[in-house]
Amino acid sequence: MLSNFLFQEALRLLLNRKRLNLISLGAISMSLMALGLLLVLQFGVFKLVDFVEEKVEVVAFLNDQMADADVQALLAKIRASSQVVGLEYHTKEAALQEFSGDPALKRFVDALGANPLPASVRIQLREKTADNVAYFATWLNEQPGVEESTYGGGDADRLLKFLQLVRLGGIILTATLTVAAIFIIANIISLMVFARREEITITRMIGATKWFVRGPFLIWGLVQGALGGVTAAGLMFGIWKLLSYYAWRDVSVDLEALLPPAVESWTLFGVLGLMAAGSMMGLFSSLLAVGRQLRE
Amino acid sequence: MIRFHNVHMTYADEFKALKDVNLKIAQGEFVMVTGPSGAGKSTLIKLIFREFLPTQGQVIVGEQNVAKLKPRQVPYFRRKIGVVFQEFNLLYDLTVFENVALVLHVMHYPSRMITKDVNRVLDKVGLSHKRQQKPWHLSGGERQRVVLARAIVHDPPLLLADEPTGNLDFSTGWEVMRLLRQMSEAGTTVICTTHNLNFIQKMRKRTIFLDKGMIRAERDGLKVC
Ligand SMILES: Nc1ncnc2c1ncn2[C@@H]1O[C@H](COP(=O)(O)OP(=O)(O)OP(=O)(O)O)[C@@H](O)[C@H]1O
Ligand SMILES: [Mg+2]
Repeated sequence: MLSNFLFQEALRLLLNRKRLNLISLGAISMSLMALGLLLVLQFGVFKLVDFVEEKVEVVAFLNDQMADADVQALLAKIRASSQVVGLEYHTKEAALQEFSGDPALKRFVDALGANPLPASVRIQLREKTADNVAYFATWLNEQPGVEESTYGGGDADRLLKFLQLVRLGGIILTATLTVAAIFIIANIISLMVFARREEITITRMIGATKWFVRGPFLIWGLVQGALGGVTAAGLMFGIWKLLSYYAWRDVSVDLEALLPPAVESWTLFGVLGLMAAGSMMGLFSSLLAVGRQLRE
Repeated sequence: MIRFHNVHMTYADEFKALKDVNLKIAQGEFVMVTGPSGAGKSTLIKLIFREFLPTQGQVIVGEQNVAKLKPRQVPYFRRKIGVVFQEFNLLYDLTVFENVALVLHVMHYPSRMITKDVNRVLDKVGLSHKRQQKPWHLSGGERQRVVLARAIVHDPPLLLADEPTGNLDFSTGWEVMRLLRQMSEAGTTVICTTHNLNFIQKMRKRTIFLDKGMIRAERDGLKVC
């Protein structure tokens, strides 16, 4: 049963001890900012990995002496594989033309006289995991007429591993800050409970239930958490704007272009998510603290 | 209304505050409890509203053995009792009105009834005009009347007053005593502790003399000593 009275009491907690309130707000916002950055990073990692994987293709360079019929047979065989979603055949001439786009390279080829470039098959795979790509390339290598096959899977794999490391760091940072924030908030509530011990004793003696006494502190925790969420979101937004401003001014990089298309709804979700996470944190801390202080 | 059966109270530090107390108080009775400081008067009061349980014996209030109350029943049990505490005074950052209203908030009264009941009880103790004051603007006697108002605002059938005249002079203390007698005349069971024998004599109510945790003597009401 929530009465007006509990909210008034919670309001008194929020307004009476300014410094304690600011400290706990700061602690919550810091840990929520870490959480927010972790989520942004997570989102960025997915985008980046997708981006890198998009470029992964297996290229098979073909033997110059191959007969046309053999080439067609090989292409058909590759196409028949369930793994293959796309295939492009580049003749020696096409390769040369591609190569000649660059004037410096053209001069080099011209000096050689003959066309040194092999014909190639570029293959898009359905699953672009490193294992799969490597396995397919090995299979391709064993086909008659294939001189050599290469793939860019290694880059994506290394990048993924690196980002996983960064993410692990982010998780550890977030967890540490969250534990610290909960510890700080719980202690602040203990202080406030202590400051009001007389009032609490009196209300209990005149027949207040445990939840009536806890109520204002729990509401305080919830509100502090939600305010912390808004603060963290605001700070992150400010930092982002500042970063993109300087990125554009000093190195002409348009960071805003990196944002996903539906950015407005993402921002809303982000803010609401941070508020919810903050409220949970505040509620948990106050439960922890008042549970310890107001044991029957 | 209240019965004590062979009640012993030993505090955590092995101090025996009450020893083998037997007591019967009928509904509507007015009982004074007196005795030197440390005799166990407050302990007796605290056992009645179950601030703690007796270490031995039984305390029965109404038909309820207080030891049988489950923890979550205790708040509801206490709401049927009005208490003037010896050591817990008013809250100094709340107004007179808010101090008294606290009891009704605890009981989840709707705010319109709170306003009505608090104003009625402040009228009764003669403090309507001070309702928006903070306690430090009040005299000792006025404060004690607010404490009494807080104890009776919800019209409890049982009123426990632990040194309600505290360190008041005789005439201001007598004001409080008269209010207690008024409550009693309206049917409330009243138990009042005091170490001021003047009040005992003037009230002429049943009196229990406690000393070193034991009942040394009892005197019926109306007899003059
Ligand atoms: N919480 C406690 N822990 C240990 N001892 C206590 C506690 N409360 C009271 N006592 C002791 O029990 C004895 C009785 O205390 P009580 O408060 O009942 O006395 P009293 O008759 O009310 O005294 P006074 O007239 O000074 O109010 C005292 O000697 C006191 O020191
Ligand atoms: Mg006492």
